[in-house]
Amino acid sequence: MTLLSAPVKAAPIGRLRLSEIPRLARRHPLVLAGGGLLALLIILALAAPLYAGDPVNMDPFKRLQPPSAEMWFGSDNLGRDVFARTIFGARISLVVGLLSAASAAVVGLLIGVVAGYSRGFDNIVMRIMDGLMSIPTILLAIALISLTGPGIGILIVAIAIPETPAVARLVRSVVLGVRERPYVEAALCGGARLPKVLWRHILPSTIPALMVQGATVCASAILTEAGLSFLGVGVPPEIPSWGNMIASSRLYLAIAPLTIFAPGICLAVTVLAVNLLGDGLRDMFDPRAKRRR
Amino acid sequence: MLMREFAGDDVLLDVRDLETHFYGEESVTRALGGISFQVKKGETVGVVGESGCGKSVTALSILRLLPKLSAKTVGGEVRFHGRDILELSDREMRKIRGDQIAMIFQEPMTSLNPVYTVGHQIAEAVQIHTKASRPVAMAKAEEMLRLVRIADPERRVSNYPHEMSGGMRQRVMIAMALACSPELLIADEPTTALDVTIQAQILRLIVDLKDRMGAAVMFITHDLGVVAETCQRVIVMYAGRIVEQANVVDLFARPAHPYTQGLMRSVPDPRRGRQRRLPEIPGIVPNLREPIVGCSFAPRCPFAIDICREKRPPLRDVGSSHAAACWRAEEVMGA
Amino acid sequence: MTGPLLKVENLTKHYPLGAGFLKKTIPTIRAVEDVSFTVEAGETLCIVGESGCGKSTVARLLMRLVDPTGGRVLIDGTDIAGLRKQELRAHRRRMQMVFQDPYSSLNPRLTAGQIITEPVENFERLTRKQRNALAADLLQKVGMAPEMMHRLPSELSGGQRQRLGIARALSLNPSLIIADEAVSALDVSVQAQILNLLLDLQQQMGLAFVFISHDLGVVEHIAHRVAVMYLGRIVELAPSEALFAKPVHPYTEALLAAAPVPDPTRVRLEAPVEGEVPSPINPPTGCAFHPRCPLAVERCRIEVPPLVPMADGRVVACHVRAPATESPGPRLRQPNRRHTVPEANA
Repeated sequence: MTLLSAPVKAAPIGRLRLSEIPRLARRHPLVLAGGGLLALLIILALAAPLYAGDPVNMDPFKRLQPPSAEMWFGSDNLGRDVFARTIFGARISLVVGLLSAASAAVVGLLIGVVAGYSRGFDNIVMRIMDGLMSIPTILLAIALISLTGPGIGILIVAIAIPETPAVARLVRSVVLGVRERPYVEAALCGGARLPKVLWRHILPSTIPALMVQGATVCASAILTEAGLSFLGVGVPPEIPSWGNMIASSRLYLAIAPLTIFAPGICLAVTVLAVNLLGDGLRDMFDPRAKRRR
Repeated sequence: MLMREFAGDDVLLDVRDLETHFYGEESVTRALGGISFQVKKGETVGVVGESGCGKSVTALSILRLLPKLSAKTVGGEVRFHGRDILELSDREMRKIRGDQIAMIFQEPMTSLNPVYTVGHQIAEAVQIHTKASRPVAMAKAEEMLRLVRIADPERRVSNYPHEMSGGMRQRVMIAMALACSPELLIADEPTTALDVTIQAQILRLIVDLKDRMGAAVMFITHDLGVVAETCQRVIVMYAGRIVEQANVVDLFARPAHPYTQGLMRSVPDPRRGRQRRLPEIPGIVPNLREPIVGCSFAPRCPFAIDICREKRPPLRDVGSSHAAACWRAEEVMGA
Repeated sequence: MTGPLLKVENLTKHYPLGAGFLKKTIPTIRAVEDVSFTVEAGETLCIVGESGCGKSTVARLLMRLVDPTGGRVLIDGTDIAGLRKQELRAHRRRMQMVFQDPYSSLNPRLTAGQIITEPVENFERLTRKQRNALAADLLQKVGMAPEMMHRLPSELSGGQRQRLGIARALSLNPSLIIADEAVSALDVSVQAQILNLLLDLQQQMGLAFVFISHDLGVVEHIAHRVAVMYLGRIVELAPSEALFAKPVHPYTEALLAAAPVPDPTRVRLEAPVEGEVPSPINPPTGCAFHPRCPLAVERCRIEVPPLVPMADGRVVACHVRAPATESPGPRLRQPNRRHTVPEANA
């Protein structure tokens, strides 16, 4: 009929394609900057054994050395290579950050979707979530670790638990908004079963919020890990982590400043990268949040 | 040029070659492609067209209320009492808005502040434009509510917007708009969100009050029925330009632009038979991000000939107080 | 002939207002109150009324997007109000819905083809080839090019999106389409295209429509019969010509008089009805229209008027214009059996 003459100009855009990424990046420099920085850090951390020395080897004769060709950032109070420790420390921070964010996101997503869809479940679960939110992360971590002994796994659990309610709440609010959309009702009218409605029509809408929230959780998890390790209740002291390094070197700031500044600056840069990525994603998914010319 | 013979002291608003662009991330939308028209004192002018034709942009351009970051009036003049208000400073403009030109929007809830009583809001509008004291302004607010026929105005002044129905909120908006006796009232789809019986009440109210206060009204709507019932003169817009303007009786009796004609015929009318196919306007509106050669309606026009696709038709007189932008207006009127 | 395609009996929906955990009486919104009508195969029944009259709730009750408080919805004799989820799925195939907003009723993340074939895929597995063939066929039915199946809704115009909504509804080959303000959000010229499409489809496929609208021009154009609702109740149900030629209920009269007509030479004779629609939380006693009605008498304040059949095949609920107890003469004769009218509950 008449609409056949509609201009066929734009190529049909499906979902995000790889070839689209450069264009998106140009539009969203924050995503590019944050994502790039984070990717670089991940690569450096993964490739650490290829270029960095042994991070745990102690050498009592080389304590608190200044930077040299052998040890680029010098050595700490036990004669360990600060550069190697910093690089290997990134692994801990990234693993803890990414895994806590991922577990909080997955659990929060499940709870949020079910709570958003079922009234009865909602009342009970969201009250439990309110309770969880009121537990201070540090106290929970100390309590858990005193029960099980220090370890990365328990640390991730301790960090993820108090972050989960925030994710669940966010997902629930998105689901509550989306389930009333006419297209969800239309799917029901078309005879779709509930799991399919959830999977196909409701879950995808939660992804943007989930990614943004995930970045926030990741950044705060990295900081929390460093804080707990600094307090001595995080990663076991024999494993190099930025928090451990800062804690063990804090007495030698005047003599060997790099022992503190190297992990400190890395920590700041990593958190900055994650936050930039989060902000960028938010702008990308919600153009109203910025809307410039 | 056009209908300028009527120009003179009684011209209140004189818009000339008004051109407004919207800026997207990678493109420029020519929302208004240079429009010219006049509004005389005390006159009711309807501006009709479908979504995206530029009717609301016209109002916002005149009032200088376009979103600052994404839109700009790039050319033309808006002479109000002979003075180009596009040249005024923001402060002078604010004084004119509300004082001499007032506006009513489609959704009264979003234009009212939910945390203040309606009396407070009307009184504030009064106080901004006159030097009335608070009690005087509140008395004026009550008087305005009575004027827009809200029952029980003594009690209603202390109501919050959410305590009122949609129709009543629109009455409050009208009361606010008229509180300072403006000379021009711009009403952008003021009844679109309302039910028919309420719409009839509000339309009658606007017409009554306009007569009583002697204000001119620019009535922006998509509804030909509303135009027929309220306006003296009509401007039809399509794709950012005026395609036809005429007094209301002439326009409905003998539309001179194929678009106007198509629009009128596509409204269901039982006099032409029920359950019958309606005459359609084929195709869709042009994309204003791309330059248009010739008449913007040509691709959808049953009258289009070669010249229509090559040269844009100017708005020209086709009768006394009737103008159309169509190369074949005479044939269209005969059809 | 085994009775009507759709038969709605005493349909009622009350929404509780907030949880009444500690309160003894929970205020309820009486959205739909004792609504009965029938729809024959191939017929268009329009439901008109102003916002809050319950017409959209009726649509949602018919699709059982909400559960009724009372009453029955019989499609081909099966009461869908009493069905369980599994059986309901099968019966929904007979009835499909077209939504008001062509933007929010399409999932923005799916392509046109995915959107319109989804209902079929809820019931059977399709190969990619079958799916494409189905999508092309459906698009053709609603006047769109098959290539459009790869587009996202955001790449289509409002009219094209509404066509997709219609194609989706057609995909299960329903006998009845419920259109809730399906053309209200569209521009006049696009509205004409969609109305033409609906009329064409009705003719080709023998579809019945329950068409819900506030636009009397559109209703007069497409309706065979019209039900006028006010505050949750049907106040008049009549063949379209009869209703528009001579409205009987004072509210119908007011509604017709208030509609703007695109004819500047017409002089408006009567003043529009005063006042506003009361709240459905605390509706007026008796006839809900009595506070605004110019004809109201004492009885209107006390007693809800029953729907009384009239000579020309219409039913009217009005003590003054259609008294139930007087003139038992020729009026009681059932004039037209085709349109079964609900029993007057007097």
